[in-house]
Amino acid sequence: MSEPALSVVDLVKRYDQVTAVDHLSFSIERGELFGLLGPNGAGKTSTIRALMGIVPADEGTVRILGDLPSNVRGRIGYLPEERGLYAKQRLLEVLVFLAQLKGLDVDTAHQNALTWLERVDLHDRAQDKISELSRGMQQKAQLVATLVHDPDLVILDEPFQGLDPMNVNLVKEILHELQSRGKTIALSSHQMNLVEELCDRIVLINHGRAVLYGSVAEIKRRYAERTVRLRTSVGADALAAVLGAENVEDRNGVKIVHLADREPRDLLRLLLDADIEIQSYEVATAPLQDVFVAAVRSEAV
Amino acid sequence: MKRMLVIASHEFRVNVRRPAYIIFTVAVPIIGLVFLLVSALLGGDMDRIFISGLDADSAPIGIVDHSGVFTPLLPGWEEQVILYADEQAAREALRSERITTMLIVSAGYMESGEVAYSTNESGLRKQVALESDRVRSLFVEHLTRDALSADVRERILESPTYVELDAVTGEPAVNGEGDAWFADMMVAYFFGILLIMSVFTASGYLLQGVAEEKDSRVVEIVISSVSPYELLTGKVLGLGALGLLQVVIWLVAAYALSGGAQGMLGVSFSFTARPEVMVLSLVYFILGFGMYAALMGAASALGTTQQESQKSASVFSMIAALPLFLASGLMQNPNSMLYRVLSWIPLTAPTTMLMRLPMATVPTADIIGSIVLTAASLPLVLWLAGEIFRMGLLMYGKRLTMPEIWRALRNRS
Repeated sequence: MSEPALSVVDLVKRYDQVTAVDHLSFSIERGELFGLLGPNGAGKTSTIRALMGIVPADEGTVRILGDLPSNVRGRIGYLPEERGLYAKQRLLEVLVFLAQLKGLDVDTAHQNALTWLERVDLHDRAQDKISELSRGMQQKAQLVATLVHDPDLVILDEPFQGLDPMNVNLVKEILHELQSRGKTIALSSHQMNLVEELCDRIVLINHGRAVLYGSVAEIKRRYAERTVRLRTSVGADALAAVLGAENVEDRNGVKIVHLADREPRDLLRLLLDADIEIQSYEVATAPLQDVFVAAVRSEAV
Repeated sequence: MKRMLVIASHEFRVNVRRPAYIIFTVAVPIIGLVFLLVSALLGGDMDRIFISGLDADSAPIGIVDHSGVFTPLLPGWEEQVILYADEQAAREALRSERITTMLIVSAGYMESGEVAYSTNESGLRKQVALESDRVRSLFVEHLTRDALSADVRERILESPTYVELDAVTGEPAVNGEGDAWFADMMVAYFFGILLIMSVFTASGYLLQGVAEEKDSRVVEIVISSVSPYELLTGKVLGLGALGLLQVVIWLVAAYALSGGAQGMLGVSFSFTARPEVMVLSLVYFILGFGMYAALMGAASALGTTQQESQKSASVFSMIAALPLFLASGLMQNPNSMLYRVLSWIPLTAPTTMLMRLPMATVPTADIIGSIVLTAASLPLVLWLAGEIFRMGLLMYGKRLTMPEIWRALRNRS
């Protein structure tokens, strides 16, 4: 198998006395949609800048597409969190310029830009000045600027910021398209539902360190509260008689059963054996949102 | 390298369409042309046109003569001088504007030299009214009426017609012809100023451009594609080409106009007759632009807003513009010690030399010294600017302080 699309080993970035990135390691496989998460000020932007080679790292190694970041700049697409385009210049002209900076020749740059503008429904605004575009349009234009040179690795910092639901869907579609074409995507976002929906794996950064790292499903399972949500016609008392009173809770008609040291399948067998009627039986998982909050909180202590 | 050229051509294309640039570039030759045409229409005496605004008109002068010097008037003065018997009558004429100036020549004039006067003129014209050639002739002719022959009187009245010979060769020096010295000086002076302005405007575009890129955050994307050094160098190249285009247009126009001036007015501008002035002007333009553009780049990356950047840049602009502030002395003697010293300091050399060159023959030592020193310090300035540029580029919230810059530079080298 080829090298990962991106690998970070023991990355350290310091600003004066502040250590923004503290021995951070993770890697992103090719073709993966990877989530780069963390609260504000956790060191995400510093990490991205350091791994793009925009600011020099103090320690550690970064490999992108099997090479040094500075050698593969043309194959990376980067959408910064704080972003903008040349306000007084025309949309198409700006896109062609940025694509040329990535190493494309003028004709290809031109062609790609027009294709992408068509894709995001901005083709009729190609000759407009950036400042004449609405905020949502500018957001789409920035995404196009990130993708216009057909990069193999795409790093998107808060790509959904300021988008209406229609455009959120458009961006999601584009991300899926990119992934189906074998592109690797690193995504940073505060919208946990979207991360949960889109990403295969994540790293959660706090205080410059990786707090959580792995597949979304596994992390959610690891952080679940070990409860089962049970719907049944049997009353809480009857359940308590079988499972022990301390393990059963009634929340608006749904019985929350704490697993204690049991496994979910053992609990189910126990209930069946006791001939308890079951309408639904669901092993609870925590939403990524809660996992995020819990992980960051436990760090703070 | 390729990316640097992409940046250079982008900078050039974006800025060449600026209305201010187009207007400035085109307006200078047009103003020159208009000036030339107006001069030609007004009779071709360039100095006259410069000073004509100050010349008192030719309304007669009233004289109340108690001394007898002006009585009777010599033939030929009746049109220009009116003698009044008493002050009352003269003042009446002054009030009715038959005359603009009245002189009261006292009885003791020959001893005291005192002449009282009243005039309707004001400001500079007041001085000119009394010190004009006409008034001088009036006094000299009447005072010497029978004592001197006409040609002696003329030699007294008119300064010699000087013909300059080169100090070394003894050949006639290439110089403005005859009375055109003043026009020649002014044109040369303004020409130097124009080139300096071109340096300042082009490097000002750089400052503005970087500040805008920082402000709109587009710099984040740009800097993920190219190194700060490539970005700065690309910008300097692109805007340098922009300034150079402007200067070349002006140089061509200057040649064309000076040809026109010679044809229409019989006046030649000394500096256009020296091709080395043109060539050296280009050299100093390039050196000067490289210098200031690099410093502007550094300054632009330092500030968090355009205003702040401009403030940091103004330190450099002030130093570079120093020769402009000292221009009055420069007109008196372009080769004085002060300007020679300024020519040897890299930061002021280009501006000083751009002004000195058209105005005088500059010592060869100054030319070589200023070019060598400036060219030698240019790589250092570019490197320094590049480092500061790199550091400042991604700082938005906060200004870089001098100690921070110093520490970072020491770490790098």
